[in-house]
Amino acid sequence: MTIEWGRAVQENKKEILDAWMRRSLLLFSGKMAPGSPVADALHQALGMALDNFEKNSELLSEALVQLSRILAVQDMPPSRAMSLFFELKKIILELSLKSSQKQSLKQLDPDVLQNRLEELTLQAFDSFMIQREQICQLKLDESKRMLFMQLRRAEA
Amino acid sequence: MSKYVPKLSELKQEFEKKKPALLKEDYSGKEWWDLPVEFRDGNWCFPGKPEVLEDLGFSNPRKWAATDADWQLPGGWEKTIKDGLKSRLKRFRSFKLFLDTCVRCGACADKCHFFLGTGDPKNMPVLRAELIRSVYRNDFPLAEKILKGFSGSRKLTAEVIKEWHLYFNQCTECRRCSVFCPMGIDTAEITMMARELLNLIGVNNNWILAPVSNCNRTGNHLGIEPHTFVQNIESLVEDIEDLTGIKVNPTFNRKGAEVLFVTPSGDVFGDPGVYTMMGYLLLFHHIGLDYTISTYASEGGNFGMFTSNEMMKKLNAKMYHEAERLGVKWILGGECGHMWRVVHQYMNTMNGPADFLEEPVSPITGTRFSNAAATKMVHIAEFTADLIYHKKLKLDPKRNDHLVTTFHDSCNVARGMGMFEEPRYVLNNVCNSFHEMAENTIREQTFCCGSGSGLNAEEFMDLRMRGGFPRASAVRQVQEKHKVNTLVTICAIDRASLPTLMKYWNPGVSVYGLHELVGNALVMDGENKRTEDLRESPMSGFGEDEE
Repeated sequence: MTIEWGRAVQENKKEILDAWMRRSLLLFSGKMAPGSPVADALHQALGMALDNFEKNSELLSEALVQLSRILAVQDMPPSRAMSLFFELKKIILELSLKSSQKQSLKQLDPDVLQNRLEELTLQAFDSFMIQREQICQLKLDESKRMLFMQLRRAEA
Repeated sequence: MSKYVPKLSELKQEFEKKKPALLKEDYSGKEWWDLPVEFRDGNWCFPGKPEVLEDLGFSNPRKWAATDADWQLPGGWEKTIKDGLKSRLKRFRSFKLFLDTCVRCGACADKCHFFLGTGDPKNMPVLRAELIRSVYRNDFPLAEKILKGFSGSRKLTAEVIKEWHLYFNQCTECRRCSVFCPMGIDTAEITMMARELLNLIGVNNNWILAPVSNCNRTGNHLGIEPHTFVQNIESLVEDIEDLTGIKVNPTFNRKGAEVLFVTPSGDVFGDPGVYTMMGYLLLFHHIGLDYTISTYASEGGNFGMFTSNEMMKKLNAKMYHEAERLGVKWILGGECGHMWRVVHQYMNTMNGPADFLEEPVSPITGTRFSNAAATKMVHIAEFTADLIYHKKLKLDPKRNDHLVTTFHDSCNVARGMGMFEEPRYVLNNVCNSFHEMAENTIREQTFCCGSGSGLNAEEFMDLRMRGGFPRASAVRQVQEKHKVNTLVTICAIDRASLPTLMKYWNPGVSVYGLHELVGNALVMDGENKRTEDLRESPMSGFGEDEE
């Protein structure tokens, strides 16, 4: 069933990605323009996540890393960053109700979608926290580099 | 404590406010100044410590934080700011011109790396300048004083001061916006003035003031005392000998040397700056330069530039006083960013003319550096480029074959003194693999590292990563396309901050100083067989078993 959802997401990728991107930009504190470098990177990561929606893979992990790397340094708590995936559910369900052409989406079991999105959200949260840990590590490494000669002498 | 351990009450408030959708509050129909000013961990730098301010004789030393409701501004602070503004409008014609001539065309809007990285409208240079311009309009130009309300003017309040502090510390004074301004407005100078005004009332940044205080006392940013400064360099001399078998012989405070060498102190204490220092030392030994290093003018950087004109002048003066005391002919400057903006654009009217020095002439090639006739100070990249051009260096670029390079133009060297070709000429002669980043991200359009102008504080890391994103994005393109693994730069702040930026956004890309690569490539007379570069990393094709 997840594969079927994955296929359905692929078939409607452009519409889903556009809507997801629009809502993602609203996360930012100001006016993140669609053509800005951050928005481009976000678009790429969201697209990659949709491409690999159906099952866990290295590409999906990479997409989530790219996404969480952007989100982890913004002025927002993890809960707000992760709400991105709740928006995806809404977008897909809205799309499935919108027109008869979206029959493929209508026929699928929404619980399966819900489960898959929850799984993705938790993976994204793990990835987000790894990026936060990375930020802490970077602070430590930078301090050590600044004191490189002093530390070297202390260790000698 | 991490920013992501919020108080329960804050979480509740945020959930109540933001649910159920992502959409934020609607500010349509409101003025730009109605957008809230919010200090959160990661978007502000710690303020100057009271003892640092006392050392410098600066106003209003106290313990405070930007997240405090009451910033403990001194009594009569409004008058201090207004008088300060008035005095600066009188003293600096450029400042008045920049406030008066903006037509709000918006050409600068999407040029700022902080705007591109944050999407915050107040980070558009036009709007950042408007933060101060709106106060100026309220009190100064007659017509606008009369037409209050129509002119976009507002009163000076404590909230305005908070807004200034937040946004004038989200400008790295890189001047990319000024390249695109049809009126030639230099927003960096507006930021400089704003920070100067804020310092009058004790609103400041410890990552700027602590180095200023250290530099004022001991001559360098970290406060390294003369004997330690010498020991650090002697330690690097030993490293060079271990690696190459060559004993280089730098001298310190030697009167009568031909050249005084001044470089950022990061090259003497920090990683990866020390490898650049090793490159300089090898180069000077290779050409037999008659030079000395001062333990008093032991800093090329000048954080005075981010504090006040007077402090910039004072810190810049020490280099010239030392040059005069030691009786050298001219000054050779290392790889630094804002040192060169100060020297190239301000020194001559602040501390010049340096008539006690001679117009620099390379003792090796005889080239006269007439471009340095006023400052008597030559940039190491043009000095080395001249040596290479005259075939005075024995170089083996294959020794850098383990590095696939790109070049980051440092803002102050590129836009502050127009130096684009010399570092590229050197780089192309010391390595075999160099790839340019996209055209709109290099040379005069270069993107800042996101940490310049004293914003390299660790507590500011989140915003630094956002502000540095456009630069990282450009590096990523060449990393993906050409497998670039080396970002070369000629600025000490870049060398300090870009490794962090790369590690976060582009893992696998390391940061090098230009003269580190020169040091790798130099073939020294009588050297041991080289198998490792200055970082003790193996050189490609130079292993023990390879010939």
